[in-house]
Amino acid sequence: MGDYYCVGSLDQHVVTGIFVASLRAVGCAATLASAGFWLARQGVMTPALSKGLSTLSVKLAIPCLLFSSVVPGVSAKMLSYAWPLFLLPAVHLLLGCLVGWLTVLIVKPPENFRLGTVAACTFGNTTGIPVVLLSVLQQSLGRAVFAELADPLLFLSMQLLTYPLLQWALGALLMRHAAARRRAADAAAADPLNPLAADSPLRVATLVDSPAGRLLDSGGGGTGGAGGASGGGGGRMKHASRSCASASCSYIPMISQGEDDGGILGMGMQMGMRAAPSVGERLYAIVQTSASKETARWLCTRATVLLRLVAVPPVIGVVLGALVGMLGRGLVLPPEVAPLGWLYMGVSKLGAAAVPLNLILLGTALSRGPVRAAMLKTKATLACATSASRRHPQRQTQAQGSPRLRPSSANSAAWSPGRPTHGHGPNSFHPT
Amino acid sequence: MRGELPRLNSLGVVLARLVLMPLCGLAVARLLVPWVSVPPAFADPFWLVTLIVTCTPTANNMVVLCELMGDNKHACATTIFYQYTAAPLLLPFVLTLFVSFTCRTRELTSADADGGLL
Repeated sequence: MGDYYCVGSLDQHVVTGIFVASLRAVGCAATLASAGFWLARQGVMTPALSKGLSTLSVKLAIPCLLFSSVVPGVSAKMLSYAWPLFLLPAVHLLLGCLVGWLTVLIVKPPENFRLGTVAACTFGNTTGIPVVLLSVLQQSLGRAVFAELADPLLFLSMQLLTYPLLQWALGALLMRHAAARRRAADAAAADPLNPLAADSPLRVATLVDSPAGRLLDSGGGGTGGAGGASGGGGGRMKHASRSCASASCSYIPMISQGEDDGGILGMGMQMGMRAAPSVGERLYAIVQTSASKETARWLCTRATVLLRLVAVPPVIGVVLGALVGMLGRGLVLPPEVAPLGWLYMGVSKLGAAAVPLNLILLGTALSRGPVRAAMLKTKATLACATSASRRHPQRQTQAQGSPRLRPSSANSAAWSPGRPTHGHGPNSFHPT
Repeated sequence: MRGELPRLNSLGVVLARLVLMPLCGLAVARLLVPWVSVPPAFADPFWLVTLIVTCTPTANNMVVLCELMGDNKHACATTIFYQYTAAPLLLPFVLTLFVSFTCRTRELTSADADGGLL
């Protein structure tokens, strides 16, 4: 009965056994995370090393793990009963959205973290942490060697195929909502003496520097496709790339999911940012001789965005695993005798590094503690700055010209004049 | 605490993400049971996977999304940190609930299948 997590009826003894196994699984994960914690405290895990390991995990280890999990188990029969897993992410995201709005209603977060609260409740970690939990639980709960076909990562892979696309769609909706909210706030604040007014020099200076402001400048609301593709669009994209990189290396660097590469950047592109020259644009160059250039441009841009969204490393690993598993399993399995078994074994060993890597990176991130400087009142901060500028106009001019003394975003008011940013910790990153 | 992310906000997100969402996931899985017939040999991992993605902390790339939305990315990073801190305390209970559910579901479906055969 090694195929089951528990045998017999669910009495108190069995439930206690399950709880102990869960504790053992969490303890196992905590042990590995402690190693990362200790390494960070010793100064071994530098931000550059963390970023490199995170990239290794996202782009190689996790795809290899998923590939080696999918190949043995995928089949037409399995797809016939497990197909709801393709749709389940949509249900979970909608539920998360509802829970997020409910949380907003109950806890009443600050204005500059309302949508962030919704997003935090909606978008869970779907790759790194589930992989870790399932792998460790598998070892703790399996009383015998688990049947090859019952690898839970096989079923997790199916969810990962559709999740990035759905995450992009819902994320883009949230961003449009944020842009609409911003436009409404701009329209309401028409007083030039109001620091929040649309034409206030201070607001202009801060919004131009903020990513949200750049998005709004490009037309916002996802309508900036062609318009946003000109001018400083490349800079926007680079900024988003830097943001993703900094989020991976400075905030919570572990478990950088594959959607880091496609999902968020895809949302940005939907909002009008410009991608680097790609397959879609080269295709556009070919078809631009046709009459409907605008339609071709639109289609190519959308195709590029879709490709970037879908073709994240974990998805590539799953798709390759499914193809090999359904069309050429005999080439790699059993690995001891199959012609390409050596290749499968190599990929499996690379995938085995995913869980320890992710947990070490998690411990490294947690060693740096939470952010301390956050959530200052935007209006109060800007009002103080405006008041100071009226008293000392020269100083205000210097402040606008100095990156050290310039707020990075009107709404993410983590900055405060005269308040030093933290020089360490995962949350100490600041675009200034 | 003045000047920082309100603790109620952090607590709310932690509870919503690590307690409320798993319960919602259980409800969804319970509704799904009659509509999906999974072979008993694969039932445990199947149902565990449908549940486990609901008990994970927030994805770290939400910090980037917050920045793109113009929201407070530092607050987002803080809530993610608190979720990872609370996860070891809450996860054993949630995982116990999940595994108990999977075992119970497999028993029920097996019993139904046996009853149908008889």
